[in-house]
Formats: sequence, structure tokens, C-alpha cells
Amino acid sequence: MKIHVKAYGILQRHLRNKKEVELCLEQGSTIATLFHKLKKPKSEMWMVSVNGKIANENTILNDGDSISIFEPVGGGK
Amino acid sequence: MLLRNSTFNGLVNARMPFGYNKQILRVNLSRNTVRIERPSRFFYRRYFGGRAIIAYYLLKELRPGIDPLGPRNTLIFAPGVVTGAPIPGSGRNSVGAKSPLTGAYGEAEVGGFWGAELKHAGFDGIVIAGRAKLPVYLWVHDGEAEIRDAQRLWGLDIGDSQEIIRKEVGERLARTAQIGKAGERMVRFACIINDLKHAAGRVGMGAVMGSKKLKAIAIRGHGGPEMAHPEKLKELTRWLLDNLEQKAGRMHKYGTGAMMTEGTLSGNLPTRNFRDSEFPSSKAISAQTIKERVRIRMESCYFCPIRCKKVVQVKKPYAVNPLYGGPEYETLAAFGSNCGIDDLKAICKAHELCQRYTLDTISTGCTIAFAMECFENKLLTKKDTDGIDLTFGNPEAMLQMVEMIAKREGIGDLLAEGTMRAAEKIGKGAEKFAVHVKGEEVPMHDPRLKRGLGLGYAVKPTGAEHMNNLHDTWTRDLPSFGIIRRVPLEDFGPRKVRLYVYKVIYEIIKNCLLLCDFVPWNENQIVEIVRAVTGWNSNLWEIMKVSERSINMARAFNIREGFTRKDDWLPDRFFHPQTSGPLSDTAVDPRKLENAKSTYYGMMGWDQKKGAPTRAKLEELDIPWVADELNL
Repeated sequence: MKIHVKAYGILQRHLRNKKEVELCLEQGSTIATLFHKLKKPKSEMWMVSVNGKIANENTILNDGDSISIFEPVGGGK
Repeated sequence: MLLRNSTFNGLVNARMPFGYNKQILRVNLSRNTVRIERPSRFFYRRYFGGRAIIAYYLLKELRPGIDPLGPRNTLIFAPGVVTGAPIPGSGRNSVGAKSPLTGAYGEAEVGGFWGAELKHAGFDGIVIAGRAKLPVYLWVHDGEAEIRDAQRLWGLDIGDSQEIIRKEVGERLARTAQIGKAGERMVRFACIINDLKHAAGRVGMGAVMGSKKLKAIAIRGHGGPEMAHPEKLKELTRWLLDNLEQKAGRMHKYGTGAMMTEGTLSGNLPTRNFRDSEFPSSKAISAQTIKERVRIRMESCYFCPIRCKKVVQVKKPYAVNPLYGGPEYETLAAFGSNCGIDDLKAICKAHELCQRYTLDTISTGCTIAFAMECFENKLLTKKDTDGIDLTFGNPEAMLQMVEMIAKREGIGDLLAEGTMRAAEKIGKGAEKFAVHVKGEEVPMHDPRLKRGLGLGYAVKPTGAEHMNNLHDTWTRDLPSFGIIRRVPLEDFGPRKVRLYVYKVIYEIIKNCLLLCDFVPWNENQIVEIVRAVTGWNSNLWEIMKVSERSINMARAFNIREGFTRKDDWLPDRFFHPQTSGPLSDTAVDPRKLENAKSTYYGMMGWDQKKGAPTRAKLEELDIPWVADELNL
């Protein structure tokens, strides 16, 4: 299946410095599969949304999904 | 009243302890007196400073049920043992009193230089009781203190009053903590501003200062405590300088507010009074855009190389004076997305007005957003607003509201009471638009994304507090504390509560020492700092117990004031999804929140009925006198 991945900020380095790419994954793949494919370092925390809704590593992907990956927002003064 | 302290000569006394002065300044404004209290070394090691010292004095000296804006409230300025030490992050102090916004324990932290200056002037805190008959200011310098007439300063913007004070005391570098018009008029969320730019923002400490007719505290000091191991502090500072880019690069370059896009993508950026999430122009109000369009420089707090404080200047269409610094993330979101506004220059102007008049930007922005939603739903009309079109997205209306709140003019007088009281008065269902906890307006982080943060909003003693809270997106494990497996973002069970408990006890250390949250010290380095400053053979266990002690004392204060389990709750808005966007199919489950509270009380050693600390817990923390205060 084909999915559309968009990365924000410094995470674009995981898309070879592109802002967005099309990727092919096997049916039944999850966000965890995608993270593995993008070589997400275990120490890093990424946020992810699928078709504009917050998702997690267990979320199952479907053909044509649009995925956004970005850094988590923390605190602030 | 002039106090001359013969023991202070501006030089280090050989018998002085390390890290603190062993002197607290006591001021009684009703009697026009100042005196020095000299606590024991056990006092300092048991309480360290900040929250613990504030809670100590409030429990010891306030009668339950007193009017927070009356003369019986006590206002406490508390740095910590680390404040003023030559180490990055040490420029901070806390301010505390019973809050006029919540009626509960009140505390706000602030950076800049003032806290360090207080330590260098020979004092570890200032405890202010009573109320002056006429406006006064306090002048503290090198072990001496003096109450001075401030009648000609009353009503001035803080930039003008600082200039006059500096001339009057003859010290060009005197540091000031001040209130402007909003504090003088006791707006319930008025703040206190250090050095014109740094706000002790939350829960109305500026209103308490105004109620005491205390315009300012000006300080100059040339001494201060000796450090036990200064070479170790140099080594730690060198480490930070060597790792600045990696550990704090983004903060150094932009300050806060550099992740607005990510905030929108995750649903965390509050939009139109926490109702919506779609705000396509979030980039227009980001720190990156500030850097490109209005920023003239970055500044630092005392001894800090991170320099994360923006200074902005705007000439047209609003004149924004760089004297008052620049907006942080909370301000950008509160006056920006939460009011539906993407006019960066208007937000910078709102920030400048809040500094000038000393208003908390979070509460001010949220109160205006609340009024905008009331206006949209016709609970307020142009008749109520003096003809102002108070619609979401109207920057002119937002700026007019800031002015009116600060001066308590027209509808500003009602809004100056905060959303909780304003909603009660407006009635007709306005309560459902009032986004507050215990009366404190909610900061710019959404519990529908961060469940643990939501638990914090509910149970924290000051109300909805985002600092020293669990940001679930950011912190999912704490391996060095024994939480090895990551807790999922959406989890709201015992694992999340345990993460919250450990994280918050750890974070509150910084409110007791005091250390800045934005300097990336880890727990081992914090221990090294405490040992190097004080010479105490301390460890993380001892330091975390100080923090836990302070949390229990603040909780005990609220229990004594009559707060109970039902007050630990979230506003209704968070039990419903956002209208669209990333969080449009999720909300906080009230049953899970209730269960999380029970688990939290259990883990903290508190009872289930009120969430009150038990005698055994207070004995374990070596504060049995607090149990006596609660008649346990």
C-alpha cells in the first residue's frame, strides 16, 4: 500500500531532507513499522498524526493515509 | 523606618554558612517597621527556599479564612539556597501569599536579576505583613532596609517608577520588583514584574502587593554568601557552555514559542478559548516570525548563557517599547490563537501593556477569550462592552480589553475579577465558557492531549499550573528514577499517575532551590550544584524529600482553607473533544480522572476523602507541626 508522509522541523532529516514523500508499506503495517523504516532513534520521542488525528505506534495504516511526523511540544513560560 | 544591620559589611564573614545569609527580612507595613529574623541552619536544610519557605510562613502566620486582599495576608519573596550562586539558572525567586484569584495557596516564580540581587544584599527572603496607610516602596541594600514614601510613584507605569526610584536611591543598577496600575487596582490576576521584563505571573501576587500599598521593592547588593566549592560550579558552567548548542540550541536561538506548528498539528495550541484547534496562521505568531520581524535582541537572566529572553520593538501600527522585553509562548498563544488573533504586532503590544500595568498574560488572554465566547453567544452584547465588537480575531478589541481590565474601566472591572467570578455574575450558562481550575485560568497546554498534565491542573495547589507539571508528550519514562518502560501518551491509569508523581516531585525541586527549568541540568548535576553551593553532603533523596515536604505543606494550607477532593477537577470544556482537528475524537474521561485522583492521593500518602496529608506522611517528612495545624 502507498502512504504519504510529511515531516516537520528537524525530523525532515529522516526523509532525506525532503518535506514529504510517498512510501510503500506492506498491508497491515503500523506506525511502529513506519518508524522502523524511517530509522527513528529509540531515544527520540516523535508525535504522529494519521489523516489529521493524533495516532500512536500501534495505529494500523491503510492505503492512501496521510501521516505527519513532528517533535513533541513540551512546557513553556 | 530604617534598619541598619551592623553584622553586614558587604564582605564575607568567616562564620557565615555557604549558600545562604542566615537572615530573613521581616516587614510590617501597618506598623512601619522592619527587622531581621535569623533562622537556624536546620531551617535552611529542611526547607531550602522558594515554595517550602513560603508554605512554612503561610501555615505558621495566616489564620484560615482571611481575606487575601486584606491586611492579614502575608506576602513572601523567597529565593532559594542556589539563588545568586555563580551558576546558570540561579537568577530566580518565588513570590507567595494566599491567592486572591483562588483563595488557595498562591505562588509564582520569576527570573531576571532581582532574586540574585536580594541574596547579594544579604537576605534569604522578605516576609511582608500588614498594609501601609499610604503608598510606599522598600529599599534594601547591603544588609539595610528602609520603607520609603511612594505617593508620587502610585499610578505610574513600572518603567517610569523604576527610573524615579533609581534616581532617588542613587543606584543606577538597583533591581526592582514592582506593580503597575493593575496591581494597584487589585485586578485579581495582577502580577509582579522583576526588572521590567520578568513576571511572577500567576494567581494574583501583584494584587496582594497592591492591597498592601507596596509599589516596589528596590535592591542593590555587593556581597552575598560564599560558595562551598566554587571550582565545581565553574566546571558545571563550562560543561553547559561546551554543550549549549546541543542541549539548549533552540532555546538560545528563539526562546519559547518556536513550536507553534507542532502545537497546531498535535491539537495542543489552545484556539478560540480552548474550543477549536484549526489555526492555519500559527506560524505568524511563532518565535521564528518574531525573530524575522520584530525582535531586536535576546537577553539573559542572571549568570545565564542561554539568553532565551526576546526583546521586541514595533513602531507601527502599535508602538511597542523594548524596555518591556518580549512575549513568551504562553503570551503568544493566550492573546494569539486563544483569542483567534494572528496579528503578531498586536500580541506584542498586549504583552507590553501587561508588563507596563503588571497583568498576568495567561489569565488576561484567557479572560478576554472567555469574554469573546460570551459575546459570540450573546451573553455579552455591545451594550455591555461600551460598543466594542468583542469577536474572536479582533486585535483592536483585544487591546482595548487589556487596557480596560488593567484600569478596571467598564466591563474591564468585571473581567478583572477573573473568569470564575465574571461567569458567576454574567450567569445564563456563562460558566461553561470559563476555563479555569479553582479560579485560575488554564495555561496554553491541553489536557485532551496531555492527560497527566490534566491531573496536575486538577490537583496542584495553585490551580491550573503548567510549570513543574508532567508534559506527557515530552516525558514518557524516567529510567534513572526506575520508570523504564515508556508510558503511552493516551494512558491515564496508575502507570501515568506514577510517572506524574515522580516527575512532579523532581520538578518542584526547582521551585525550592530555585533553579530555572530551561537550563538543562540533569538530576545528578542538580545534586552537584547543591553540594557545591552549600557544602552539604546532600543527595537526590534528601533534595526530593524537601520538594515532597513543600508539596505537602502547600496541600495542607489548602486543606486548612476548606478545599477538598471535589475542588481537584477540570473545567467542563476538557471533557468534550475539540470541534475539529487532531483532538476532535478524544477528550478527558471524567471517571478516569476521578480514578487517577484516587491513585494519586494513595501514592502521596493522602486520605481519600479530602486528599489531605495523613499524620504519618507528615511525620515521615519531619513536619509533624503541620499535622498539628490540621488537627490530625
